Amino acid sequence: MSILTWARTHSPWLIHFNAGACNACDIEVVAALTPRFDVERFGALIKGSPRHADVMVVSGSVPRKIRDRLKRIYEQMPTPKFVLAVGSCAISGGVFQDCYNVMEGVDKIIPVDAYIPGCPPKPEAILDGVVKLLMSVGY
Amino acid sequence: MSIEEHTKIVEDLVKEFGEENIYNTKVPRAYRAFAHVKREKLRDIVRYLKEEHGFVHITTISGVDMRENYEVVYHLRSEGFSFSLKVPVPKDDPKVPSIVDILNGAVLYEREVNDLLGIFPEGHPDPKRLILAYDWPEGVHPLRKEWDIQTIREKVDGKRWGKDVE
Repeated sequence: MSILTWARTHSPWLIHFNAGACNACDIEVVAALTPRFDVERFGALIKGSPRHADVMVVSGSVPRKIRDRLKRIYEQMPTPKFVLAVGSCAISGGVFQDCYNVMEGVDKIIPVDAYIPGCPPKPEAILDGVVKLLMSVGY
Repeated sequence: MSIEEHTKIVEDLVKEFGEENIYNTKVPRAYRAFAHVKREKLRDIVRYLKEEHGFVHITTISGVDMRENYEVVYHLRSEGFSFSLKVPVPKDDPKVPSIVDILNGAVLYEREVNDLLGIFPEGHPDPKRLILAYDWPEGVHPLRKEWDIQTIREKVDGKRWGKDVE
């Protein structure tokens, strides 16, 4: 493991972006950060600014009005950057598929590295998604 | 208040405006009433209800595509009594008179109905777009029943996409 990979995988800082989610996924993401589930043992911290973050955690079905903001916030993150799509809505639009204002998934707008299915996914599933993402980077 | 008193309010309204202007009245229980209203008399009826019976609050305005025509439903409220006025709107002339100067709360609801069903509120002080996306083309009203999702996507994005297409 190179020192770059080591540094990258031991402190993945997260930015949480709600792209039109109903808040259920957001609650589970916040629960995954609490000491009970403790995503911080992998070095992950939630950050307020996309410029400080390595991993973008996106929930929600991406309505048309959010599309440009999602793209813009993604472009503000420094490379290397990763995207986690949390929940059925972020993967495919979920129950909002075929709505006139829904883009049906984060991967229509920005590249996604890991998908976490569920409506909402459990905090354990979100942790598993974070770990699988880190493994794919070379943890 | 009892159902008799609420029925009396509705009967008083029918007496004031005539059965040709306010019809299909229904009072299923206390604190709830429905009525069909002619579009031309809507403003007079809303003003009368506000001034005589204290209907100062508009809960919401819903637009319905009934397929043969549209229907705009004004949900008025006074001391717990909900009164829904249904206004039939023909499809070839989708307009309603604005009631913003009578009930100020209608200002956003009329814009929303104009966005989603294309029923223009005539006399609205600021009838611009409310909830559709900024790049949404003019004249595409997504809740109209004659369009399906792929037709809307063709108009908005220039191509059909989604799970039925790929």
